[in-house]
Amino acid sequence: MTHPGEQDLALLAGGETGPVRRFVLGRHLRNCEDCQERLAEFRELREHLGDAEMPDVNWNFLAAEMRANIRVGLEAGACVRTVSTSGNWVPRFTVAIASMLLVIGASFFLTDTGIHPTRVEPATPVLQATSSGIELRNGSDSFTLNDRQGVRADESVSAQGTMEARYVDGETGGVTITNVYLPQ
Amino acid sequence: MSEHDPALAELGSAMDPRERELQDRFVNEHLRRIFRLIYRIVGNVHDAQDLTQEAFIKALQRQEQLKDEQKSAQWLSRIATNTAIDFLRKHGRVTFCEITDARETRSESPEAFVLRSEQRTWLAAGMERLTPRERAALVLRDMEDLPADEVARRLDCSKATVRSHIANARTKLKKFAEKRKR
Repeated sequence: MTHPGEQDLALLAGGETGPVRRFVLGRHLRNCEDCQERLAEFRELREHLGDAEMPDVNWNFLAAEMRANIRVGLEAGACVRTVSTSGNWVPRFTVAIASMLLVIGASFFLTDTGIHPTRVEPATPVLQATSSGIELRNGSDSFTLNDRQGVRADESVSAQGTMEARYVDGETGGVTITNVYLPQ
Repeated sequence: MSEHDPALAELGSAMDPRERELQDRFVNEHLRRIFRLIYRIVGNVHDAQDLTQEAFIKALQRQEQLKDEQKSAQWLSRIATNTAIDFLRKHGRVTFCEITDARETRSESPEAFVLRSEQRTWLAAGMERLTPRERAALVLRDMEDLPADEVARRLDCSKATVRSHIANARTKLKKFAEKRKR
């Protein structure tokens, strides 16, 4: 005969066993004195727990002390809450408004790409190197500094609007340097 | 500290008197029950006192929960149970010993007092062998006489888990009792 485990009897003693298990255990218990005794011990234990009393303390004294401490805790909590609720709304409101403005600003920025092509005014003077020399063009007018005899060796342009070109004479080997300054 | 602490009087009240009255009534109604529940879980008066105060302060700082009297009592019990379990988890097993510190108020025979003290010492030593959740489940089921599904609600777990905690707790206590008898 297989006896029920301690856990089964522990639950049966408190009435926490399901109906099927209770039926099975009940059948076993009817014929098993050992298990009846074990079950009775669990029931006794439960009764003992149920009778557990309050500790031996002066309840009135203890209760008064607890009431006073709870009151102090609540009053302190209320003070903190009052300060925090009255003082916090200004920065919170400011942060909320600032955030809204930031979002609106960002949306404008993202909508307008901000890339605008640079327009070249037709009347602006342009300085350029050509195969025959250095040419200054202003609208439809142009001025070219020719050096037909030489072969252009190189040219350079400075940020200040200066253009320099070097020409080498094929016969004599002489070098001619031409500097043109664009008026600002 | 007494109820008429001058420091408290100086502090003044940042609270509406009606709100204060409601809170005091709530504390008076439930103080003994909550203290007893917490004491049964943690096992000593000093910790039970601190935790009872903590549980009430936690509960009363959320006034909106107090509108329904029935629900507020259950809600307070739940806060108290969780506060006690959290305490046990943080501080490990506690010592059940209050008898030397007791302020005896009842008149009883010395024999009865010794018997009661022995029973309490035995129970305290047995309870120390349980885990916090086993102890809480056993207190709620066998001492507070709550149904298993209510215990499950209070401990925020399934009914099967509660049954397992209860079975373990009773088995451990029975084994402990048997060892003492030998």
